[in-house]
Amino acid sequence: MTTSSLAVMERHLIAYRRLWKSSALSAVLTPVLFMVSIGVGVGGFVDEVDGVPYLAWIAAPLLLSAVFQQTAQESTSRVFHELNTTRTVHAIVATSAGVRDVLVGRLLYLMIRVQFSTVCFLAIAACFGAVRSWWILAEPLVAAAVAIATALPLTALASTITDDTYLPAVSRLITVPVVLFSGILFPPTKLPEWAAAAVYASPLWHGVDLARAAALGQRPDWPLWAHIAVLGVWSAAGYALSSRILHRRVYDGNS
Amino acid sequence: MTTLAPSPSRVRAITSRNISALRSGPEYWVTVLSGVFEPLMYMLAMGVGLGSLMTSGHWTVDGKEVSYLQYIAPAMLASAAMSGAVSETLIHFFFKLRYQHTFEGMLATPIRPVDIVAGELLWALIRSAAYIAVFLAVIATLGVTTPARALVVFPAGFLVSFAFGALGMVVATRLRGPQDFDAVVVGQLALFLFSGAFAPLSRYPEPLHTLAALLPLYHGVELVRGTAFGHLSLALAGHAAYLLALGVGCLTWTARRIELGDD
Repeated sequence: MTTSSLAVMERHLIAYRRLWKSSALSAVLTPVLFMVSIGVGVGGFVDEVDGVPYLAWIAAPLLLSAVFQQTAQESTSRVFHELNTTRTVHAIVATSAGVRDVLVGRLLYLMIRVQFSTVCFLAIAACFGAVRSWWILAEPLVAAAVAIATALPLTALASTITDDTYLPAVSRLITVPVVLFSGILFPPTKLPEWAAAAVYASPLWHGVDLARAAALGQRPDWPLWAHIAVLGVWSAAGYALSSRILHRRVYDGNS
Repeated sequence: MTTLAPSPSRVRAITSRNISALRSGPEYWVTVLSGVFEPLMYMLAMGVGLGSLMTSGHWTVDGKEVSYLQYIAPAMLASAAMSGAVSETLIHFFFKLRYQHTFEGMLATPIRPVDIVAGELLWALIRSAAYIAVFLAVIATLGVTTPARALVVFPAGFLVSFAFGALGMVVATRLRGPQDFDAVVVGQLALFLFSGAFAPLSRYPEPLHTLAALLPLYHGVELVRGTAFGHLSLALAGHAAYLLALGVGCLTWTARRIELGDD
């Protein structure tokens, strides 16, 4: 982490001052709306899952889905516009900052937003009786890991898009299905084998399993090292890909 | 007051511009087609995935027991009708108005603002009608509705699109800029989650129950579910009247606002 990365983070925070109220509110409200609508409305018809009432079973995972969506939005639409519309990325690399600072600075900025919504949501979830273990203190770490493993690969993807008409499709064809099938509302074991295999590849599922285990004080379905390995692979591959693609876009003049 | 009546030929010109935009390449097609993918994913995740965690016997429509998938499927039709219309008249309309300056060129011709409002709404309704048709096939396959009842479900879904298309335009003219997009997304999500699509509103505690019953998508879901299952009642007429009044009211408001030019 260099001074240039911190400068990039500061730049994003300054730009965020105009947006933060509605953005922070929506980041906290989204999982709360799901928790009340599905947890309260439908939860009464669902048997206990793993010996836990349904609302408590989905609460912490819903937070992860909000983190995932927030990160996806920030890493697709925002990255696209900063590369193609406002060309902020080009402006940043025209200074002493490089592509690495563009990526790290944005991650740092994302961390601040993600941690803010994590703490707010957990306080609300606790009021619903959905926080049942001191392991909940590990939740911010899980949220951070999922945010990084999501942001970098999606940044790589968004850097290859050159027509903004594709952006809503990225959200509907990638973000929404991942949120719906990553074991938040029902376990992937209920899916056909091929679909479950796809779910186990998604970074969100690994965060969901850890977040649920932490909130309920239970053992995760997969061992901790396996979750860390998958999230690590997504992050490393995402970093390698996005820095290469961004490098090509901003230095080779073919953007 | 003749200025408030749109001209049919100019409205047709606006609508055809949108249709010919589909010919410009795969991008717009991907957007339009992916719009129906989202409610289908919701239907599968909730109906099949979450449904698998429930013991049977909880879900009834008009006293008849149905599966959870059958319970939510017609509601997903209503939701697709809403989002198909809103994605054109709210966000897309706002971008054309504010960033792409699509309407400025049009207004240099004899086309008036009211023609644009009507033409864009008509295109939004065509797009939603395609979504409704897809979902009609889906709910017929699930045994929720019959081809005969589908003839009633289609206009019911169309009415939902009309009401939300007009409502979307009102919101579009009120947006200040990207700082309001988050609020729009959360607002639409709240309408969706508390529409009675996933559980009867009576499951919610009191202030929430009454509040949700006032929201427009609840009336859309009830109307579509009722007609799909062939459970016709006077309440359905009430839901239809609510949606019609909302649509006409919003349309009049938008046309007035544009005519006054207070942007």
